[in-house]
Amino acid sequence: LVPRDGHATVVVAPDDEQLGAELSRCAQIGTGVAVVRPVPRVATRGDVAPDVLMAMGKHFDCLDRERRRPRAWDLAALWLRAERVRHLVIAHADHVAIFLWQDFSDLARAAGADLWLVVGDTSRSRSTPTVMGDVALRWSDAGSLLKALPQAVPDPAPYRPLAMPLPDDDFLTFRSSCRSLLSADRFAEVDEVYRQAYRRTAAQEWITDAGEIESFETVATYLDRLTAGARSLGECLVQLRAAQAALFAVSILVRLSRAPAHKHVMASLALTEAVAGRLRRLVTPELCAAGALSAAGADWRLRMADVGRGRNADIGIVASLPMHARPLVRVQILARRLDGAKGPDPLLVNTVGTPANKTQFGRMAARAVSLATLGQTVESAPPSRGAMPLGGWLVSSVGQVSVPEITRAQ
Amino acid sequence: VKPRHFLNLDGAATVETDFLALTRRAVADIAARRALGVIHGAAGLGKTFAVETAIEVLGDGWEAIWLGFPSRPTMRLIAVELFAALTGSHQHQDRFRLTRLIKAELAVHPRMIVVDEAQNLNRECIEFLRHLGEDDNRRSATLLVGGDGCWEVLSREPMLRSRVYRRVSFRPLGPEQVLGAVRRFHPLYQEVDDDLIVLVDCYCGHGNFRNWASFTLTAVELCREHGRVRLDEQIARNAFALLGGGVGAA
Repeated sequence: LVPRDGHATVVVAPDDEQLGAELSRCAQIGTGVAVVRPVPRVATRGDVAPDVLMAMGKHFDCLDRERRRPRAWDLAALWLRAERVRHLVIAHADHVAIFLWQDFSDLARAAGADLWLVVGDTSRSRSTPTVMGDVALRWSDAGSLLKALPQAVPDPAPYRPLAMPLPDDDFLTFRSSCRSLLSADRFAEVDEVYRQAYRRTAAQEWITDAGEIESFETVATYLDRLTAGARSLGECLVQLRAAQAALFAVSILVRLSRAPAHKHVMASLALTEAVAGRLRRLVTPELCAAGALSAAGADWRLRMADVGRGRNADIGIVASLPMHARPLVRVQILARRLDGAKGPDPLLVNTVGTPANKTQFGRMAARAVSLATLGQTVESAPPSRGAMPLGGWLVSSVGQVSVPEITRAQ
Repeated sequence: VKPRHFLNLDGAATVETDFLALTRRAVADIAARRALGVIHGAAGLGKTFAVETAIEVLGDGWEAIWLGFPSRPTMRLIAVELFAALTGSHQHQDRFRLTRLIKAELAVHPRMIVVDEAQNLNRECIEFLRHLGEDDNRRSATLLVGGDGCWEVLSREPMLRSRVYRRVSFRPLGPEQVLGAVRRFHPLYQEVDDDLIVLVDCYCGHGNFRNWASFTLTAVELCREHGRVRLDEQIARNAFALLGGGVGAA
């Protein structure tokens, strides 16, 4: 492998059509491979930085939308570290100003990545020095590059969340309405979720045949836990209807009412891969972190010491996040460290550098949601009077009823 | 863009030549592969008509974006014009941002980017088009259409030549092809002797559709003025005179 101290490998590929296709297949941020395709004849770091960011999956216009263009190069450097890029490949490197090679080298070195400069014009390549500034250039071919890059991991089959609309019936007729109104395939998907939630609810130890319950909170807390992993509002609704039916079978009647939407609260926005993927298209560290932490239900008063120590910065709250969401917080940790923040300092600060308060945290999260166009997914409620926000539903009452035998037999 | 005949000649029919069939196949292939194609040949041979016809039958929401540039355009000019053609908006952003916007736009729905007079492109512009064509998210294909010298210019650039998936080289119709083609082209020639058609082709048509369209329109107007119902040698010679041959042409 290429040493990571000021070295770069120049890959000579005169007919790069095939290599271009292979690089497209290998380019996957999850395996640490970023393939940059710079706009031809680019000559400044500021102009090529968006191409570096796009190679890491950022939105094509993220810098302008988030008004971060003056920090473009610094953000590219931060994200290379946050995303743990191990191979930085610059396609058509002979079509960018040659002094940018030094900048690419610095960028790769800071991130601990190997730098590969792919050139197609061999006549120009021959005039390229073997040492450029602090960078020693090693010469190689397309085969060596492809051998060094990790194989891309096939994308998992896309999860199709149970999307709305679903029947608006209460739990007594919900399932039969689904059977009547939905296509057979869609009903099968709904019923699978329904049956799982029903069985899980029926197996709860705190449920007795006599229909006795400890308290309103017991049921509400359970329903909150049941729906915490829901990947869509549709899935949440199906789980709730199934739980209502299962509880009704043991004489517990749970009434749910729709909760009012509240734009600054994202308590029900699960940090799924799709949601994290949308947030990872943003470039501003504090917005990404606020969006992820808010979706994960984390406290806004986190301090640097709470979130990570050491180079990897993957302990504390970061370690509790799913893998696909960790770069969102990691990038903020790295950004704060660059600002000189230490353990007791806050992870999130406002524009004047003081700790972000709850309102500012909410605004940052809401802006992240807006920029990531997640607004349609967010439907949540402010917790109040002990009620739990359940994907837009509130438990309004729990009571005991006399249940006919036919309901128990479900 | 609806295909139209030169000078909007009334009564003209689309003649199914080999080149038209080849162009239709080439355009369909590059559309399917989101690839790059080149259509070239001398002026007046029906390249533009063939491309318009081929794109029209693509279906599935394909939209043609026609671009033409002066000699030696800059990358910025291409970016500005292409963005304007795609969106109807003239932006004055720097070309790097424009390029990103164009790439995002090209990912939206299928477009056939047709660059006419492609022989005017220089290396920089070819690099730029290559860059757009490498975007994995694009749903567009690119067709370079050019006149004399087009292929010579484009083939000098290895980065482009190796990416050309389909190429159609238009040539003038030969005498045998002309006899079959012009009778299908316009009703004026349906009962005309072969010798007269050969005469017109020798002195005016030269196996070139644009020349034949000019001649046909002129001959139709002369027939109408003189109460003739079909083309004869006198009408033909008068038409030659009006088309640049002067008095006593041919």
